[in-house]
Amino acid sequence: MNQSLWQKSRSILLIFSSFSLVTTLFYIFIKPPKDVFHALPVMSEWESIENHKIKIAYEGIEGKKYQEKDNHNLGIEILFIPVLHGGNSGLIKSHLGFDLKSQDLTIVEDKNTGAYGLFTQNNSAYLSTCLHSQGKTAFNERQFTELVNYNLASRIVPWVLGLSDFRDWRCYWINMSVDLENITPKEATQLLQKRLFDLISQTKFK
Amino acid sequence: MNNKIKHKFFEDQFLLLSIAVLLIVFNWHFINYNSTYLLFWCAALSIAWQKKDQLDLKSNLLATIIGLILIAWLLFRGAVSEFQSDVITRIYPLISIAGICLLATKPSKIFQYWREIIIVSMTGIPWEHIFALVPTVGKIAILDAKIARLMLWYVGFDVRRVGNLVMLPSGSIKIAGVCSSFDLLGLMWQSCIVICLYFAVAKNKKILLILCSTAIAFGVNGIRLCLMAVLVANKSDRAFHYWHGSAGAEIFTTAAILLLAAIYWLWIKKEENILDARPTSS
Repeated sequence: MNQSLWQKSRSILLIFSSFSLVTTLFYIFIKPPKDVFHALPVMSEWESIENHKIKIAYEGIEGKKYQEKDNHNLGIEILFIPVLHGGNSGLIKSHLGFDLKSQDLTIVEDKNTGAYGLFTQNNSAYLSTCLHSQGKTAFNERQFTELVNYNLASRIVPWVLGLSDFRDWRCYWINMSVDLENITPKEATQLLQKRLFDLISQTKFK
Repeated sequence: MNNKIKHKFFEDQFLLLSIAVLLIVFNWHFINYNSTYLLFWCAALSIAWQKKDQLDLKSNLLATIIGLILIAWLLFRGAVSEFQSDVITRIYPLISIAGICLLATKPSKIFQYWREIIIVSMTGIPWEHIFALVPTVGKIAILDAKIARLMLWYVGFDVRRVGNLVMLPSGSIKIAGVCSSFDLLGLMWQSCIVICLYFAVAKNKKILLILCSTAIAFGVNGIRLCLMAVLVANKSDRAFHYWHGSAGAEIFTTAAILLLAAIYWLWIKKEENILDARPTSS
């Protein structure tokens, strides 16, 4: 290439690089933070009762709370945990204050949905689980780690481009409860499971 | 006159300088640099600027394209990524310095920037990921506990130590992770390397500088640990969380770096005085 032509082209490329850097930095600084709950649906029956920072220990954790008053006072609470350490039992203890023994808890593993825990406390039936961006749920640490490490090879390119994390440790902790006043425990479990399946089927992570 | 200024502004060295400054802002935003790492970048820029007239600033097509791809990758990743604590984000300074060097010169001449490359690369080493794999951190925490106990005992506190636990009668602290001197020690040694690359330091002075920086790291961190132990013993929770947090740690880090810089400055002053005092041989 002609030397003076290359020098001119190079100067143009350097000016273009400076301009791209300025515009990208400007975009990065003014970019609004993404709503962490954008992928999760809000069902038409749900009535929002709380939408604020919920405190667990010293961490400010974002959460949403809904209820269906006419449906046996069904409560749905979703907390966004940026990095989940351990499983659901720690969250149940720190957030709900229930120190569950293994005999109080039924862990259900489902091939399509993942795993979730069912238990009864204070005349209410509870369903607790952790929804991962893979679109499946986990209850204990082993199940969650399996979701985090699932198909890592396919995550390399999106990770290099910054479109996703190589290992995604984020968890949407879902906690649902139903009053056991006019409903049998079996019916309550079916209601909670149905709500969980509806929620997962309408979640759009990709 | 205006044309002359305009022409000067669009000269390659000014454009490269502006790209370097913008990359510093980019890295500062994503890596949460402490003030010392910003100083490292400034030192690297200063070295390059001092020798700007001797530098070969003629890059070729291939090097320019690779440099542009690296910078474009950084910008794309920075704009779309929601994840800011992964290893790739941590090594942005390494990618930045590679990109700017390839824009500035041919790959065969990249060695002329070896000082700048070493200095900037030190800001892009993912220490927190490496520390997690190093078992020595635990041993350093015990040494820190011994130093803190000695300092507290010397000023008259009734203090005991078990392992990395420093106990006062009404409260105790456990030294672990980033509260140990490991972080500060690494930063001080890196600062020594920057001083040695920036100034011409004699070999014996280099050894002295490393010994001094090690003593400063343990001493300054020891004072911080003593302060935290006293605050815990006095049930001053808010003050404890401040000095335990990043803002409080930053003050001690800056104090340690200033102390090292002051010691080096005193050495230079002393040398100058000795040279001035010598009679001239002519």
